[in-house]
Amino acid sequence: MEAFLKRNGNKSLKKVEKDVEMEPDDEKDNKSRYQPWVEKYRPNKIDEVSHQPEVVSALNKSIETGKIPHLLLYGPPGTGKTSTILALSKELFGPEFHRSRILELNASDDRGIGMVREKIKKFAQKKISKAVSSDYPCPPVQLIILDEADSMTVDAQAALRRTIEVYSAQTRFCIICNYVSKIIEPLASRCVKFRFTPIAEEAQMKRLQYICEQEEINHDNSALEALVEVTDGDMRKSIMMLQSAGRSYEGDKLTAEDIYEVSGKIPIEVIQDIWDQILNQSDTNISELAENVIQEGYDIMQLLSQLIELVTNAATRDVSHLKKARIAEICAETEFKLIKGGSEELNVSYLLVSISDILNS
Amino acid sequence: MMESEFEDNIWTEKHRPATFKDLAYNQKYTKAIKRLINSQDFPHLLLYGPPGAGKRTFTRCILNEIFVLYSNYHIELSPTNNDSHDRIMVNNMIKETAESQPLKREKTKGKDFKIVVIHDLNLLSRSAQAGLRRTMEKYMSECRIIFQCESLSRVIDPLKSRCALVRVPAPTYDTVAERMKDIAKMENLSISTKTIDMIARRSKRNMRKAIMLLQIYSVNFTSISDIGKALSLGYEQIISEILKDLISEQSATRVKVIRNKFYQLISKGISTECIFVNLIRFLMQSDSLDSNVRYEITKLACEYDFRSKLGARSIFHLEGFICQAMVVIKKSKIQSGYGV
Repeated sequence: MEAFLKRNGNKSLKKVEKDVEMEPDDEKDNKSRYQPWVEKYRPNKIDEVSHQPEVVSALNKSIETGKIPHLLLYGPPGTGKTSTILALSKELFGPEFHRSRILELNASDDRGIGMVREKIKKFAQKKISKAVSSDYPCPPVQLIILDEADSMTVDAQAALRRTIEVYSAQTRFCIICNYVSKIIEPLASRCVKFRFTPIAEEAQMKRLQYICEQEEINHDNSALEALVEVTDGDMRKSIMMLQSAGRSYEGDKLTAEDIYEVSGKIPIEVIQDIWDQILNQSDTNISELAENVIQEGYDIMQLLSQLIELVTNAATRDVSHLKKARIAEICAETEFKLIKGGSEELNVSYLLVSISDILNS
Repeated sequence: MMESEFEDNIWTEKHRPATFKDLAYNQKYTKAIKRLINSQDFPHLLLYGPPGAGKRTFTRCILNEIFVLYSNYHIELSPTNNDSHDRIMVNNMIKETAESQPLKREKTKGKDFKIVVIHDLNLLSRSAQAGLRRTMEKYMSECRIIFQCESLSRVIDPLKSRCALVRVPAPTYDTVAERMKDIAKMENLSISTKTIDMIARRSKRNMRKAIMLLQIYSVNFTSISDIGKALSLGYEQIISEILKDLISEQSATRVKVIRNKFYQLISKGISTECIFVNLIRFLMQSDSLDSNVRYEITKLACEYDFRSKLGARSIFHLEGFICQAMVVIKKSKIQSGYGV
């Protein structure tokens, strides 16, 4: 069985390689009808990347001169890391060479140490022609993109160290990750680091506005504001939500309520209600409360973060700081237990019981 | 053919709605979903909600709306039965489904993509979830994924941000009762409103459990006069006995008695989590203990459930919990004794 699955795993590697090659740009029109908006509105040019001025100007320079360093892009999800590098490769190599000059690997591929030894080396050793006739700069280098590199093992990263240096004459590496701390130091020091910041409100608004116009969505301004508010600078999330709300809203205008509906955010009244019930503690209520939270199917992580928000804001001013700190501690403990696999129902009971304990002591 | 005959015997399958039109509840969501999937470019979906809320039914209705039920254009996966290989399996499945060309197109109602349904996303390992990130994006135009899970807490954020989240809350008591009445009518079962109400309360807004209990009732009601007994599930009875034992006496001999009952439950394949959850449920309903004591025991249950997840043998944790709970009860008894 294991052998069978392993063989399949290898097969999938070959396929990935093929897929990268099989994404021709000219088929786009045909495809875009079925394409979700996050893909449809991915920037095609570096200049189109929203709100990362340093990165954009630095990479534009490298396109002009045709000289690119090894890159390390890091930042929270949905800030445009993958989009930037895909746009860069398109601008650099053009549709003709875009496929042959790039190797894209991500967490869905097997990336152990064997992978680095075989696949990456093989690609890096490939000879490329120096002079090509093309409208694009097309420098005589090839690009290896390691997406989601924080899920690579430390061993595999260590194996890359020498590989990067040996083949640096014609191969550039681009490492993309969420947490730069997960990349080993020797690897990070070989690259030019770019930090991607969460998208600023205005930039996000502008892009969403543009998409709304393109897709002819009749929207309220408050809807876009709500989108920006609930996504905290995660562009992909906001476009995703815009699409699911934009395709399902009732009435003739997209409003903030529609956005909250699809965002998975728990309505503020519900949180307030839970808080009030804990405060006026009446006996059996708490178990019923916990049961209700579970049955309504709310996301418990969301509940935790919104509870913390409530505890830290002005509405709960009359609760002492010590109590608030202890509530925060309980929330943190619950989060840990949930991630490690604790039962949701028990943990919610525990959470609510503990909070009521703290508040009423 | 065999299969469908078998399914007919189980009411939860027999009376499962197949189209949005038949769907009894969640009307508000139904409309929104319907509009969403009727657009050509709808995103990946992630349905979440408690058991028995109708996630599976919802998925069926969605598939039926897009294609037909049992079409060639969708595939369903439960990754949990492939433990450590789930990453490879899920990715390969999506890649292969996306790459293969459909044979006939007339059944797709004009849609040019396929659908992969993945059940129990929360049980998928972290590396498998991480592996889905780029795969999902890459094959989006050929292949949509519908995820289902009971709790979002074990789903990684990058996946959540790539899906449209759809909350499926449990149906209300009234809806459960309503649906049971309909089914009883279809099955020619005479049942009093009082009994229906009782089943609805017992099932705790879990539609599947309610229909199951209704079927159990339909088999048992002639032979057993006590309705309460006719409706109870075996393991629930044992767990409530354990609780009674725990409250009435705290001693080493009692621990031994309870241990036997735990072994009974374990040998029946009842999970540790289920035992803890039900114990706490019964505890919260009983009035014989002071509320402070109940809270203490809830905290203990949470702690020991967590430990049992990390540990290997659940009996240690169950017994540890019982002993600790006994200490708590005894202490409170002594204290109140001094008070008098």
